[in-house]
Amino acid sequence: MMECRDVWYRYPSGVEALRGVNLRVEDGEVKILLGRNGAGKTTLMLTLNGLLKPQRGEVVIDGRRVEYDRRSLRWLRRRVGYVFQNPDDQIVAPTVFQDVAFGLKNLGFDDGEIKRRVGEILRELELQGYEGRLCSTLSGGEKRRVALAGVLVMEPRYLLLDEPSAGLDGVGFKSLVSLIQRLKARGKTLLISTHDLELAMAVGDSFAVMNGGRIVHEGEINAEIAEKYGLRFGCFRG
Amino acid sequence: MLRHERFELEPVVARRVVEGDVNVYFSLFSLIVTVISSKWAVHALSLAIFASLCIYANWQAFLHLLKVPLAFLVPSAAVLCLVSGAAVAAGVALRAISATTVLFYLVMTSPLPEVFSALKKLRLPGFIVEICMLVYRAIQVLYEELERLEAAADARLGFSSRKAVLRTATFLSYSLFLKSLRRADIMNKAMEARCYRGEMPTFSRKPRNVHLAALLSALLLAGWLV
Repeated sequence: MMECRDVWYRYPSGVEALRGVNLRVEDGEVKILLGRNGAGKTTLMLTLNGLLKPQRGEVVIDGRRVEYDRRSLRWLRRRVGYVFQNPDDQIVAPTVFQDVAFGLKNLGFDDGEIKRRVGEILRELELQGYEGRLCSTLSGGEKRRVALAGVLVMEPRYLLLDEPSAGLDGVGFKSLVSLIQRLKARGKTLLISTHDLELAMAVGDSFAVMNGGRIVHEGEINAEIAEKYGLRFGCFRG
Repeated sequence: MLRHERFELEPVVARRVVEGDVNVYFSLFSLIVTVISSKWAVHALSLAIFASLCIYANWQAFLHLLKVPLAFLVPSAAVLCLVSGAAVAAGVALRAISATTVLFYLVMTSPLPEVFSALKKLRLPGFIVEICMLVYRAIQVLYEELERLEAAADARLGFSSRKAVLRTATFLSYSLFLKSLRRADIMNKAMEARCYRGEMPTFSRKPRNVHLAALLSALLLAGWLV
């Protein structure tokens, strides 16, 4: 289980992005985090991955309170994988193979195991044969899959997907939905930040809405809630 | 196609006779022999081998690349011919063009990550490889940002006059500088998120035609030593 207890975070610029967030994601569920731009969704995800340390409150993963020393963060990031909103932000290596293998190499896996796991994940995400491709020459959809592969290959138990449907076409959207369903079937726990209600309805088990750095609603989403918190709600219209 | 993409794609799309780390070693070894040797026969042999390989890899790209050194080499050789005689000018020109052709072969057939992967196996310190890879990736991303900024400025007549060019260049430099700072911060977060502890994986292709590379290298070496 992944949990935030009264988490507060203020950026050095003075913007208070999280103001007492309480959120619980049960094992095996797909939780959707909805909210307008600037509601605090990304900050919350960065906090759950240990990339930001809250000034108040605590993050609890598998019943263990997150500490911020090097060893604990390593433990945390092995369990909680974070996929950035913009794949260019996440891709750190020049070729597809190097980027997907990045996490495994840093976890100390041997080269044979890295090769095997990278091959498997590239096949799963329909990227076989892309190993030597330069990331800068990939399309937006391909980059998104490489970014996903780089996290999935580490086999985290919890996955944080930040706006995974941004910029996807119809085909990309369908394969994203199918991938999320496959991950759920494998017992992964997912927290997905989005303002795409179509994706939310297609894959979500439970929903939370953020506004102004707070969780303002948990439970079912309807047209009224969507309108109240400024969500795009095309799927609720006739 | 964007300029940097074209440059980066050359080694990816080029037809390669020799593949894998051995291609890098073969090119570097030949380059050293060509530069060190003072025999015209070695230079001629090196030029013949590597020009053929470059033409096979992608003759259009090779001719395109060749234009740049030739623009310097032809006038320099002409001056040298007047000053020191035709024999010296021909010798210098042959040596320069053969060494450049070997280098072009390396550039045209080995993507930069593969070059560093091969160098790492030659015991180049890991931190140098790591820094080079990160800088290379940062350049890729910043170049893309620059192309976008340039297009956005161009669409709003940012390059319509000399004054506008100057003003736009100032804005673009400023924006790119800020973006590069932001990029460094994000890159750091992205690496932290995947348990970074100073390890950068390398990528190299399966070796192919190792015997041919060895034979050609031996030919050059023989030409130098005999």
